[in-house]
Amino acid sequence: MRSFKYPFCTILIMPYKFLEGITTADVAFEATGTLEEVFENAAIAVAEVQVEIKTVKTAEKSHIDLERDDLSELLHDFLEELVFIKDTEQLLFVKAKVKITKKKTYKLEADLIGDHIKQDEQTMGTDVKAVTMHKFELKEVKKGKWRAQVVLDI
Amino acid sequence: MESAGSAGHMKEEFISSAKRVSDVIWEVPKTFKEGMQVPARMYATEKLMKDMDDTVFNQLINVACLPGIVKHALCMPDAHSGYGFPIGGVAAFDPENGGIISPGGIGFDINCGMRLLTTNLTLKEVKPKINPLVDELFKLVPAGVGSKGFVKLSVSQLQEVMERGVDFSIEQGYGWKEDAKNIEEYGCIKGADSSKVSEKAVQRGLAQLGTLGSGNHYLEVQFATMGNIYDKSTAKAFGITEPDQIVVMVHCGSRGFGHQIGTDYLKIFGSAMKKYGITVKDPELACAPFKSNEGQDYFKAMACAANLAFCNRQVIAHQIREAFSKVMGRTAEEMEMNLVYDVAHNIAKLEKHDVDGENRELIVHRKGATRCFGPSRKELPAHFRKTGQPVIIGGSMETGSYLLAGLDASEETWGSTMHGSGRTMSRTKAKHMVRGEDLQKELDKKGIHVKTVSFSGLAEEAGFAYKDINEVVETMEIAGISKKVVALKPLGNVKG
Repeated sequence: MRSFKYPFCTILIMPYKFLEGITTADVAFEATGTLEEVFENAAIAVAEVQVEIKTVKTAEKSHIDLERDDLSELLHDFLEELVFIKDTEQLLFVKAKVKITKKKTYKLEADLIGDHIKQDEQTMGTDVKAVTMHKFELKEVKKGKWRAQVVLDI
Repeated sequence: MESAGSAGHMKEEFISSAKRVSDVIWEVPKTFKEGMQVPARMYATEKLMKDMDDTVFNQLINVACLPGIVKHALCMPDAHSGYGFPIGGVAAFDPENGGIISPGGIGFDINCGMRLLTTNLTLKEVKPKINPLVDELFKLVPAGVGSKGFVKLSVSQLQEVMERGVDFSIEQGYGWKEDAKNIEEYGCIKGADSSKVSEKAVQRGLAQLGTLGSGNHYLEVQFATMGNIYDKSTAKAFGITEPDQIVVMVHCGSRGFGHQIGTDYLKIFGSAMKKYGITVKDPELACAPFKSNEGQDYFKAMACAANLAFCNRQVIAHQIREAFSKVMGRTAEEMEMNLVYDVAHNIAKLEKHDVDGENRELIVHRKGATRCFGPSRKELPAHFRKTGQPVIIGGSMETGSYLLAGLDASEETWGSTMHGSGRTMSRTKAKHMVRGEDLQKELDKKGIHVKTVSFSGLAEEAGFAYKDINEVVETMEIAGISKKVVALKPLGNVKG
């Protein structure tokens, strides 16, 4: 099982790992941590599928604001937004800082750092085309500790 | 989420309850599981059945439960688990009888499909130049994560792509006039309406026309040895006449554009289902009645993505002709780089089929399944009315591919057959078994020159991650649905 330590993550458990046995043709992963860390780790996992993280410079910044009624939907749409930015601005993000606040709805503010895709300079992986709802899960497994399971269409 | 039976047991239950309609058809009755509207049929040899992914059976049963499904839920021998429908799933729904349309029955990559071009070149001429040829193809056809298309389009031109399909690309100078007649639906599905496509999809579409993509998408230089020609007269009609003749195969789809449409409408259908009182057993099976506003909107948007995919493969074919011209020092016309056919394998189509003696218009979903109309179908252009429709089946980089012809008996599968060899191993596992760099060297020794944007992506596509294509193709031949015309062997491959 592959696992990658995300250098900005303070927890010691694996922040995300790729899963076998969930999907044959595509890629499944789980992300763990506090609620906000799950969002951050999931964002990095989406990048890791597409590029070797350490080959990406931290040259570009971006920001995402999203608001949804439901936390699962918020995570799904946040990851979808990353795919959209990748396709339209050719940007991949290797660092993410996420803040989630709850009033009537859930509000996400994400600061992202990464670089434009440079196939000659970076070690490329496989293009992520969609974030599916197939076996999609976001759950608080115990107080303050969350787990997400995501299947990406490749 | 998988409602019908717990994982791990469904296959055994299916096999023990199935009636053997023939050596390769396994059918369970609609009483097999609660909620099934029709029986479910699996096309497979005993061996393929034994190795079939368990989830496929759950997903096939879920399809049999959908409103308005006609006759059977069908599954092709290359099946593996998908989202909603299995990959390899085929189902027809009756619009007059509450029949639905479902993005999960089409796939995110709308009109992912195959295209095959011939040449009059032989292996002997091309083999010494395969390295520069693959390099040139790699240069002219952008592939992999973040690749940008070379076709610069305005929003209004993109609308033309969506609504007019390949005719627009050909007018712009990408391809030959006669190409259009060798494309399913002549390269344009009617009813496309660009106003049903989101701004986000348009943004993703603008940057990507003329790109190959990544994952299992590829462009391959192949050859047909005389020993691999199963049906000489049909092969000749399809343009394969010489020993060791070189052909070029392309596998790709509508890229991020189609995916965005799939994602958008999955959400719309999620809420529409409440309105129509439809419940499904998996959120990826979200659907709406074909005749509802939502169903019609999706169909019109899906047609836009299908037309963009036809254009994408058209523009890529143009680049292939350019690359060959440059490396071989002859024009594409001199090399007779004709289009054999272009066929979709992720799509829903309005088609007329026989239902218990009555000719009915149905909305046929093919997800990882290829249309394979026999000679009698009037949709085919005159030159295929004796042979049946060409069917292009892509195998793995190592095992080779097939050109088949559709048969009239395919009416029993709504004119559908398999689309490829079908994965059996997860990407993550395949990457653990081989390094991309090693696989490239191994293939090179076998005389297959591969150039890839991603070595990890290459490892994920290793031959051992796929089923035996010969067995898969044979299954549908035994079933009398499609017949082998030529087996094609790889020589050079470009991968995203």
